Amino acid sequence: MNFKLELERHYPYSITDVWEGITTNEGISDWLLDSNNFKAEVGHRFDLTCVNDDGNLDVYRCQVLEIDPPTRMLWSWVLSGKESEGLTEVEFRLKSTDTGTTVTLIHRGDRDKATIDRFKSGWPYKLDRLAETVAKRAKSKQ
Amino acid sequence: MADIHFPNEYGAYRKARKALLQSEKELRAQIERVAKERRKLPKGGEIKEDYVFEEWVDGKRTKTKLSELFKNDDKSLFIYSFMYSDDMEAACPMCTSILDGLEGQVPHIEQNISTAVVAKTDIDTLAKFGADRGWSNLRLLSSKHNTYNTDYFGEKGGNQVTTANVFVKDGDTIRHFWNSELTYEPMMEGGHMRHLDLIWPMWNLLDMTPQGRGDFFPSLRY
Repeated sequence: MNFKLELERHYPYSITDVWEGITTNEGISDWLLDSNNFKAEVGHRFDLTCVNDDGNLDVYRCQVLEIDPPTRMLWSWVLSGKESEGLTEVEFRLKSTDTGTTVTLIHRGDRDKATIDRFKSGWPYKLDRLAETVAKRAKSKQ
Repeated sequence: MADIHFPNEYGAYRKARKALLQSEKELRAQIERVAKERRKLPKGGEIKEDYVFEEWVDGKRTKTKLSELFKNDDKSLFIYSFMYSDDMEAACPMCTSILDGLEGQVPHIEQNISTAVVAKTDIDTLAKFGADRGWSNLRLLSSKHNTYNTDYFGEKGGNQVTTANVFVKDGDTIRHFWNSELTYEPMMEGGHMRHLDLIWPMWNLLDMTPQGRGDFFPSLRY
């Protein structure tokens, strides 16, 4: 089933702070999934990992497909073991506003309904966490 | 070494390892605290007699007093109670595993303190077992003809108990200092008291692996 999730959030922080939150291992690990080999370079492959509810390791195999600092980044995204289902794409769009930064997250691809439902419930939570990550980064710079 | 990463490790691994490291640091601190508390024990009771053991020295069966087990100017004497008596079919494999390890460590330990191994079985049987095992550093003594085992809980209700005691010299007096009393406590979670874990590398090494200790028990032969 093809899907396209699009979520928008506004954060009262600068576009630089938000960009750092999504393009550093420290930032990504704080709000999304554990990351230790991310690089903001086109073609770079990286792994996002977490210990799932069963106590096993989930590995999301990702690649930076397109990047245009600090306004746009596109990743491919697939859970290890699900490669046969094809890649999905995660896109971040950042726009500077008078009061901060608007982030649009788009996740698209082809998955079964249960998986899509998990994305639907997961991303809003993750984007709330991103707000906290960015807040912490902004505060640490003051 | 603030930033350790091994080849191809995942972020989730590093995060979990950092949490484990914290636990390891707490354990390490706890070990230090317990050792310090142990060192601060007040004077223990005087030995009620200078127990006479038997051992083989230079091919001769010899009687040796407990006081003579303190070598040189050593202030401390560690005595391992080896579960091996005449009414046992064989020596305790668990004790044997511990002693196999101590055998190699004795020359190092004895740079600091004196050590001995005491068993209830007769000295000839004990010495032969040690020789068959290839032990040459362990000082093997028989307590067949004294009450050391019952007095220091190496025997309870007629059964041999694996335990360790430390004695200290206090001037001309010899006092008890410490016994691995954890072994006499009600069973804790996990089923084994592990009262001698600290001198038994096998378990600690297995604990470094995902298999852990499992249901393994050492044997005399493999």
